[in-house]
Amino acid sequence: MRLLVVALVVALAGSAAACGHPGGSGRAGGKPGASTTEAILVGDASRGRALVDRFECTRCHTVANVEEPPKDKQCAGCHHDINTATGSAAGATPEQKARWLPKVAELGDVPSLVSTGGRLRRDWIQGFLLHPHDLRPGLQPTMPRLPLTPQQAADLATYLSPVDEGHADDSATALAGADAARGRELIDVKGCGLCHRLSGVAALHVGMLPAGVVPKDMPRAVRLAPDLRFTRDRWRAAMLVRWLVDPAKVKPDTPMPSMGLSEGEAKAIAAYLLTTPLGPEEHKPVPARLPVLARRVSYDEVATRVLRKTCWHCHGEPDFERGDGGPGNSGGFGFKGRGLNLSDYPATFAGFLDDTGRRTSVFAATKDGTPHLVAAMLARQHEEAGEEPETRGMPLGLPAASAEEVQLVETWIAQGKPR
Amino acid sequence: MTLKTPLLLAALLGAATAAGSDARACGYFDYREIRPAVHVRPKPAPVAANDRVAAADQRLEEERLAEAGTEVVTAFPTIRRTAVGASPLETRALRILSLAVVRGEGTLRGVPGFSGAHEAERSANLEWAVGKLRAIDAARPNDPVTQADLAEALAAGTQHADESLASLADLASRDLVGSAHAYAALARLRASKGDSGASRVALGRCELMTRSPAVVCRAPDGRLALGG
Repeated sequence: MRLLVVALVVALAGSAAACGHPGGSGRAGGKPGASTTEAILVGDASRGRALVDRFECTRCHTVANVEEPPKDKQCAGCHHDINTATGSAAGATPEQKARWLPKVAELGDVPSLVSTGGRLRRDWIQGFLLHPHDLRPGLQPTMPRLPLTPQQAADLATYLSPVDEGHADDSATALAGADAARGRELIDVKGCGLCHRLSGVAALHVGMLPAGVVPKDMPRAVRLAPDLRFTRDRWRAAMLVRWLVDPAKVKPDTPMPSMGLSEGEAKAIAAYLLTTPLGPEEHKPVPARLPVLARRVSYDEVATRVLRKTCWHCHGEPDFERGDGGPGNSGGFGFKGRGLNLSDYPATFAGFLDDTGRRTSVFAATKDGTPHLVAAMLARQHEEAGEEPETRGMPLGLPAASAEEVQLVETWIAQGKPR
Repeated sequence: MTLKTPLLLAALLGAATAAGSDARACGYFDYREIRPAVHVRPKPAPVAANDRVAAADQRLEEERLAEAGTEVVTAFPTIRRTAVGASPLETRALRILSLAVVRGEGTLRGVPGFSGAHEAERSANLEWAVGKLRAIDAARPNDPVTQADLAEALAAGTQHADESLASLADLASRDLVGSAHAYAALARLRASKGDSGASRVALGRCELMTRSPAVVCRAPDGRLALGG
């Protein structure tokens, strides 16, 4: 009987891997059309290293063997400083702290790209770079949609995971003898659900705080915990088992605690995560577009609730004390400089540089008549719904504006953009 | 001698010793004379230059031109001799001060160096402001904000009226102007060419773009544009 279970687990693991990776970079349970079917390209690690600089991965991530950029080129680093009142924010006045803190709470935690080599599947990295999605439900930001070609994604994936060579599934050997049902029991008993979600199956038990976990570390761990449905896309079985037994040995800076698992227990959990059938992937629905308001909307209201809440962080004024106007103004994350400054009223009118280098108003109509500014906000809502609209969604990699915020901007534009 | 006195002396001695620690590190120790404590009113905390520039921006927005100028000159007392591009903050300060000078027709009452007491001084101030706005526009090519600023300044005289009109009309046709003053200038220039319809349209835009339409959006004949 036990042999039969093992055979079933191994067979399921094989078929799940085969189904889960069409062309190698699709994702488990994704909507039809949302999964990717790019061929796995041969990447070049040295080109990938150069692309880390070009796409400014270190604005957010710590990347192994890559020097940190200056603080004013670090999004996550600067937010971390403000959150902890250290570094460049050590001298901040109480007024500045009061202004900044509510706005920077989230971006201080970003997964580091340390020890990615051999840990993550190269084909998954390539697919994720090209088709980023909400991997970590507890983390507000998501990987932004960068202007990457498939070859560039392959080069970056090769740089980040240089030792992951094959497409072969190692489940049969790595999970020999594993009992997936026991794995599910262990997941519930060990309290994995305290941090992780496993969407597409019955909810995990939250359980008790695992032994050795310091409560103050929990918020960070929750924010960085991935939805475990993607485990089968991201990991090979043998590495997953090693990770579960001793996470810090695989990735020293991980917030994932050691759960005191034996190798057999780790195999059981891995078998469950890699093989359990998953329901369809769920996305946020696209909010219904609201009609323009009858009341008067001023620029101040739009600025307070939308433009200066998020947009101006990347689309700023270059002539402040320091800075370059942000990546949405002078270029960054691989995007060319668009010269867009949303930090004040006249600057917002000054528009952006289109693909021909000509200034275009953010209020000008796109092909379907929607103003560019609104189209970008709506596109982000569609991205969160698992779509990949032609227009890049804004704010890049951050939560979409609500239907009410879009309504506010649309109303203001319809009223002639009053001061 | 009360109990407080030796404590005060000890505190002063301690402060003097602590203050001397840097000097001592260089092999030099400054024995400071202990003087009786003098109660002085604490100095107000200095305002950082970037806060002053931000305040100046706000005052300019509120049409409080002299106050805007005062903030800038207090932050950068030698700003008249400062070149565009010296630092981003100074460039921003130069823009604010230049626009305040233009909108004040060369006079910023009470602002050292920009009071414009005489006609020659006012002309020199305006010339200075136009020069700075031209330099800022050159430093930030293809930026409608600096283009509109410069065009507004040029519209104040007659010499460059055509250049100003062409620039503002082009920017306005592409909905790239976010300055009420620029629209007011466009309205004047269009009226001077006899195009009263287009002038009224520009004044309508001006009214939408300012909190002070009565100050900013005057019809070319001097009447308020309010109400069309």
